[in-house]
Amino acid sequence: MTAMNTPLTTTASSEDCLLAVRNLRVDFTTYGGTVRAVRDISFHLNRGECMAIVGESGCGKSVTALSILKLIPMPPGKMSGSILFKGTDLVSLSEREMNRIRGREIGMVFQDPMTSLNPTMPIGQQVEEILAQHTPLSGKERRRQALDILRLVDIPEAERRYGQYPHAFSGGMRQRVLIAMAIACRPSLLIADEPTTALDVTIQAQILELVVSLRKSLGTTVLLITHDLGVVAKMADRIAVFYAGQIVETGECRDIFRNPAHPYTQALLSSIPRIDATRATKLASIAGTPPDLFSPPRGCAFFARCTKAMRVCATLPPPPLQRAKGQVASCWLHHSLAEARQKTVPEGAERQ
Amino acid sequence: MNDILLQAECLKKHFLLPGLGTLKAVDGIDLALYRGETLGLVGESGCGKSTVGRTLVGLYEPTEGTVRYRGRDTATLTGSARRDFVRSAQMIFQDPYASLDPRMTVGDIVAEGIDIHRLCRGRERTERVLELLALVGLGRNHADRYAHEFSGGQRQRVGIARALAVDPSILVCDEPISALDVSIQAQVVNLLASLQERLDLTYLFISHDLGMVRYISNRVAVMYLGRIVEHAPTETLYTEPLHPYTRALLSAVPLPDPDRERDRQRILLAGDVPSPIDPPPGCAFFSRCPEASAHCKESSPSLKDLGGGHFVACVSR
Ligand SMILES: Nc1ncnc2c1ncn2[C@@H]1O[C@H](COP(=O)(O)OP(=O)(O)OP(=O)(O)O)[C@@H](O)[C@H]1O
Ligand SMILES: Nc1ncnc2c1ncn2[C@@H]1O[C@H](COP(=O)(O)OP(=O)(O)OP(=O)(O)O)[C@@H](O)[C@H]1O
Ligand code: SF4
Ligand SMILES: [Mg+2]
Ligand SMILES: [Mg+2]
Repeated sequence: MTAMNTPLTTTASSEDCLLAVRNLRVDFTTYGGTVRAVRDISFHLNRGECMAIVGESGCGKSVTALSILKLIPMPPGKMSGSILFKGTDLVSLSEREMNRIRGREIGMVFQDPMTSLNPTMPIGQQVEEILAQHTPLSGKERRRQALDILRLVDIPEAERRYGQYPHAFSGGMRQRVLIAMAIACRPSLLIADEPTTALDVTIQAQILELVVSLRKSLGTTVLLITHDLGVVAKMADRIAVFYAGQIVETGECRDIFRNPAHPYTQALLSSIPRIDATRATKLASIAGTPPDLFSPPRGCAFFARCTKAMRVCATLPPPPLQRAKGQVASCWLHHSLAEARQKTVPEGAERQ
Repeated sequence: MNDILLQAECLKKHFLLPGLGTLKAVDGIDLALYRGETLGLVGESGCGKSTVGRTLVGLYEPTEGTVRYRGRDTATLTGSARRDFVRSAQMIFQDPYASLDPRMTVGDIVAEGIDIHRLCRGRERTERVLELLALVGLGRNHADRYAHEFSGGQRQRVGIARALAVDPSILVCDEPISALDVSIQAQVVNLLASLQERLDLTYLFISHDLGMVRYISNRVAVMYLGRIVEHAPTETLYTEPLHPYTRALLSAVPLPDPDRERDRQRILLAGDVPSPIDPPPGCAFFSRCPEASAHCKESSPSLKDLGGGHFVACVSR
């Protein structure tokens, strides 16, 4: 089947490409069995762009992000595939070499802001530590730079706040400090895992605005993880939709919102009521729940919940199929034969 | 829809925090729940939404003010009248993971209220439980299983069945969907909507999801730091918000539409929500308000009736 060979993402020229993840798999061995958390994922990030990973709880978003930094605990985790960052495969680097990349080349804002700050250290010192790790700056220089960075992320009265401990900061301010720490060394890639999920919308708007302005002023490439499609629409150039440890659709942000190709993406977009639209009769809802990652289904992971499922979907995993320019969906509906078959073959009669 | 089931008058709920001061979680609110309607309650985290819900159903005693059930002050209810109120006003809790006892089967969780209120026993009880589970889309086979074996959406259904078990007329739904995935949220909201129609329920729907609140509510109240700052029929509130906070809040919600997002005028607020411990005098929104003037600091504005059920608490409106 030739369609099987279509690349999942259209690879840009190597100069434009900052990060290329190829065939990433992550398994966790637990008492209950092996969790197949990430199941053969490939995507790339171009320099300067913002790509968003969306998907529901447990679909492998954080594990993917942590894999890029090789922060997956091993064991119980097991990782395979390649992660090319500026042409170097991070998978083959030693822990010492990785330490030079973390924080300096790739900054990360983790999902839980409360646990990722050290409660016993003043915030200014926490920013300085990062600079001390990665730069040869003198103590005085470090302090000056740390202050600059705190100002850059709009911490009001940065001098006075410098010596305060995290508990004296609100959730929004802590998130600013975490972003400050992540960008302290001006990394070329910033990975932000649900950076605003714990925050209120008016505070969220402030933080997102900050990320937008940092992208403009520092040219940082951003990998943004979120389940909020509103945040995606505001921030992303491109989107990867995750479902049960796989990418089911990727494409330009506008294309995906306008013409979602995968039934999961379609259902997701129509199940959210919009604040700018009046009451519809009934919300579209997706019946059922995502599959168990201990024993993922043989065919399409969305099969059990999909209203358009065909016979083939139960047994064969759908290959990534090019839908439009730069838009790729892993769904049998977009196979060249599917349209003809769907019309002529009564439901349930198809064999593969 | 003129029948007021539950009403709060000048309701206050303060918490004394030794050594820190008085936390004014709810600081003088008025609201009414009409039979069969859904009143949405929105506002930022910590503004007092859950405390309002808990005080309304009698889980907290008000520090000041009254809660009236069918016109009668609930503090004065005794005997069967009190039991009737306790049974009629139920709550669905914020967190479907924490609010169900992991040692109990789903059937027993649902039956708890039936037992407490001695509504039925034996075969009748079993049948009632199965009927309730069926009502929320769960089967006979779920009754003997434990809650921790269930998904978030299923747990939330169990929470709903438990609340419905005692035949309530009022349900306070405290963030019933916020712990759920987007694809499951619609299932639960559709369920709540169909139950409302079939059982003539009245809802207080607490949420910070402004899209969902618009979808499900007839009227919406916006809270800020323990007070209601605006209150209106849903369409009015979303199309003609008047309070500077409501305006900022609505403009801050990102729309799932890249084109509209790009062209959107956003009101960015500076700073953080002030502490509810000994809040400053005057309007609580003063420190972040883009339209604040000197008057705003003097006294806290009370809700002004603008007609058509639209109320706003702002000196410049
Ligand atoms: N250390 C671990 N040991 C065992 N299983 C794990 C571990 N870390 C993650 N998992 C499992 O891997 C799967 C993917 O988890 P991940 O944290 O990536 O989800 P996510 O998409 O980030 O979800 P959320 O939106 O809830 O943050 C889940 O089923 C999770 O339970
Ligand atoms: N039992 C209590 N003792 C002391 N303080 C409390 C108690 N319950 C609530 N509070 C405080 O009262 C304020 C309002 O809390 P509440 O839970 O009502 O807010 P909320 O609007 O429901 O927030 P969220 O959106 O985060 O659920 C908060 O500052 C909270 O810390
Ligand atoms: S009363 Fe004053 S401070 Fe409060 S919202 Fe209105 S204008 Fe702003
Ligand atoms: Mg995660
Ligand atoms: Mg609450």
